[in-house]
Amino acid sequence: MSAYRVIKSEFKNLESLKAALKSIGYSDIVTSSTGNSISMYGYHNDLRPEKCAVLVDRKYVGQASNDVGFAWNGSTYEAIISDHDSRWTFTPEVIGKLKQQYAFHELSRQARQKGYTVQQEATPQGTIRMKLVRR
Amino acid sequence: MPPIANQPHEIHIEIDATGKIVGEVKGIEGPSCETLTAWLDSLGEVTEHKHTKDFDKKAKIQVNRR
Repeated sequence: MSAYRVIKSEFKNLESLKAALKSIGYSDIVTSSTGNSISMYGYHNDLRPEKCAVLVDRKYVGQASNDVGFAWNGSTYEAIISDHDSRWTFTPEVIGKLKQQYAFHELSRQARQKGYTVQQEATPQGTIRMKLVRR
Repeated sequence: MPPIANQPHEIHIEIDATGKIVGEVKGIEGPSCETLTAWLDSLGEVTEHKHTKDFDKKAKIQVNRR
């Protein structure tokens, strides 16, 4: 061992973001092929000013919830979450799990592209361990 | 000697519950291992980048005698 890096995950790849949302239970996702063009609606079916590129419909987020979206800012997908949902459904802990799953899917995707074999184990503490092997 | 990327090695990764990634190369000594983990930087914001004691060792060169 000789060098190590610590990285804070950012949502950069659409397919890995979709896979991560599915991993935490959101498989009905709407995506746009034309950038941030999906309208977002609130709890009262009220049209919100924000638009996004990836949408989780409020009916899947929770009771009395608003749409949750991810907007592309040119380099990453930024989450658009209402104050209500950030306290009850898409909490910082849920976002953390989403980032963890995103990192796992994106690392696996890039590692396989580079010819690595990917091994994975989950630990009781909630950490994911991966071994990328080149023989 | 084959390019370093083709030499047997492992990259050990840990991803915590906040999405923080820690990646480390095992099996290759010396500064050339840097190139093996540089691609991890594309995953997000690099908050730490350290060298362990093996970084300053010379890479071992395998000589095949016929």
